[in-house]
Amino acid sequence: MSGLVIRNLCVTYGSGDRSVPAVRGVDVDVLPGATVGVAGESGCGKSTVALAVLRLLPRTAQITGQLQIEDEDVLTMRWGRLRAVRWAGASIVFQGAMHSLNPVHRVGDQIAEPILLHASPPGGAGSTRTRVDTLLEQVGLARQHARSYPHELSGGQRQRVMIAMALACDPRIIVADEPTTALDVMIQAQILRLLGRLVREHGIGLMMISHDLSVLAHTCDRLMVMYAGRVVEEGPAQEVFRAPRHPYSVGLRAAFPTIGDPGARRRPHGLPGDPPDPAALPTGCSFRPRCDVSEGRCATVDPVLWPVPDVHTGPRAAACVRVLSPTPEPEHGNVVEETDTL
Amino acid sequence: MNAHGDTAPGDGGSGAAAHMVEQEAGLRAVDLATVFPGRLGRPAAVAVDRVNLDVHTGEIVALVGESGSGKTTLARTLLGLERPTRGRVRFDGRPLAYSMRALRAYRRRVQLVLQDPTGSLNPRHTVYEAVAEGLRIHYGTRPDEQELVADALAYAGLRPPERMFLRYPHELSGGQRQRVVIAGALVLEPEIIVADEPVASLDASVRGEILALLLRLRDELALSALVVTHDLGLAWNIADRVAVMYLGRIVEIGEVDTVLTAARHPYTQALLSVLPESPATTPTVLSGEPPDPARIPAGCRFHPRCPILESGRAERAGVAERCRTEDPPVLDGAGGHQVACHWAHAVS
Repeated sequence: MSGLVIRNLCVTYGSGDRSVPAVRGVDVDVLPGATVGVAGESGCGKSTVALAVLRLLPRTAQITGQLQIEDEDVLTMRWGRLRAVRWAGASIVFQGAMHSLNPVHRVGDQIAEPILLHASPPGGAGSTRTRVDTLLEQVGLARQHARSYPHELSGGQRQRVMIAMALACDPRIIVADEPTTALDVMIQAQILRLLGRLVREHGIGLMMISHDLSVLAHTCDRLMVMYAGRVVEEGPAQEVFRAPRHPYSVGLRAAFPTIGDPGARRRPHGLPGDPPDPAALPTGCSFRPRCDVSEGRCATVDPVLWPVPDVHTGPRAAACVRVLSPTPEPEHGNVVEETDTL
Repeated sequence: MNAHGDTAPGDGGSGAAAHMVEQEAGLRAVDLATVFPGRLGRPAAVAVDRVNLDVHTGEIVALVGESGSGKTTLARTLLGLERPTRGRVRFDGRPLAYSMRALRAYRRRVQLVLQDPTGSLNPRHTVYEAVAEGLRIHYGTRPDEQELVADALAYAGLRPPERMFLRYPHELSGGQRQRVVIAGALVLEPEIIVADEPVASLDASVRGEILALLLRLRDELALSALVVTHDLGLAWNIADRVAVMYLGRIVEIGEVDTVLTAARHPYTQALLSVLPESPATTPTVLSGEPPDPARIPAGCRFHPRCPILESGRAERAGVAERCRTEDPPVLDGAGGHQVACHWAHAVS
């Protein structure tokens, strides 16, 4: 299978009794032309998965499992081959475009850098410049912007430059880590539309990471929700968004209100509590301490992803005991509401 | 206690003078403009261009706009951090005075909460010191300091407060840090807080909790708030009224329930249409960035990007010429649903 294949990925930071499991067995498939969204709060391991794709993690991280890009195993790859796969096989669009661009180089030169290092076009400098112009055009920037420095561009324009860089070596996979988080709604809409178009036109597989479930649901085909280093729910994006089955997804879903929904008017929803310390996870289900529908069995059963049995448009799974065997008296509308707990 | 949303503006009616003062909104911008002079021969940037806005007692007003719309400059001007070029800030029935002494008293009653709690807390100050700092600045050391700090932390939802006293910012989660920043504002018992993107840098799960806290403070302490944000969902979650700002001017203002469900300005309509969950079938993605406040277009300032003008609907309504040449009247910001758009007025 081509594209990006991740099987049972585990990432542990540190070693011995100070080791912290950040990712605990994650499976992801991103086929060419497909978009997969990964949602979750800070510390759930979503950015660690993104960095693992290109082996960008620090040396203290131990990675196990399988990670393939276009049928090539990234984890066992030799250094020289890995360098070739970065940018050309897969590339990353990072969150803060201001911090990811070098402030003292013109953006055109920065876009050209991966081309010169990786693709080395036959025509030399002239053809590289043509390629940069084409890339700028693809992301909706005028070619004159090649001569601009990052501080001369707005946040949205800088994010477009980042996307142009990611496209520079025709990668098969793009990982976008919170690509629109710091941007205004209108610019966010422009960037999401651009990413969607590029993925379709070039048959690129896109893995998009965000804490905003609604953005992912409307951009991606499939959606995965991560909690404490694991995927706790996955399925067709619209379905997971409309009818989440894991109590954690329900809470994330409710955090961003639908305008016009009387249930959210003057009633902001949050998820009380903090994600667990990965070095000291609770027994049983790791979401149990924050879950308002947890039961006795949740303290002992550590749920894995079980298929959701209802009718659906694609495979769906959730890691909650209630999915496997619903409680006799089902509680509906179990939205977590902030009552400012003591 | 909460007469929010339906308080009449102060300068109407015929009551006695004392009565009028009582009726005037807590914090008001009256025909306010803030202009930054251009450097090296560049034209001056009109960041805030004639804004009227009232924040009544016990009311939460959301000020919405893109980056560059002037919303943060307006908030800074209201706080007395910028001197207005035109018009005035009024608070508690009086124009704001700009002497050091007057500003100091003012800043006790009107508190600012910034976007990034990590950046607004000194990493080498404990939670106790962070919250007590404002008290010490305004009152010196007080015998009841510890009690006041504990109360403020408890109000901000950090309980039991004594356990928080000696913790440092790096030991806290993002949501807890924002609660500490809010406690630092609350300890001075302000009448209004001005919050600039209070949840933009927080996780989805924490966002709702901080918003619920603002709402609870409004209900329990009658604390008014002006929340500056680009997040329309935030306005729907907590605000009573919303003001939409474009290029220095408020273009639409009114009750949240009306403005966000039946927006009349093409700009507000476009902002709502691009939200991921918008019921609009075709999102109106405006091209380009908000234009430069140093070069505000003639006529309606939104006309070069206006989808209504571009699609010819303004032409059909017979207002296209006015859109290009005539600046719509300035909104008075008091109450009711108001819109600064020739087309919206022509078709209604």
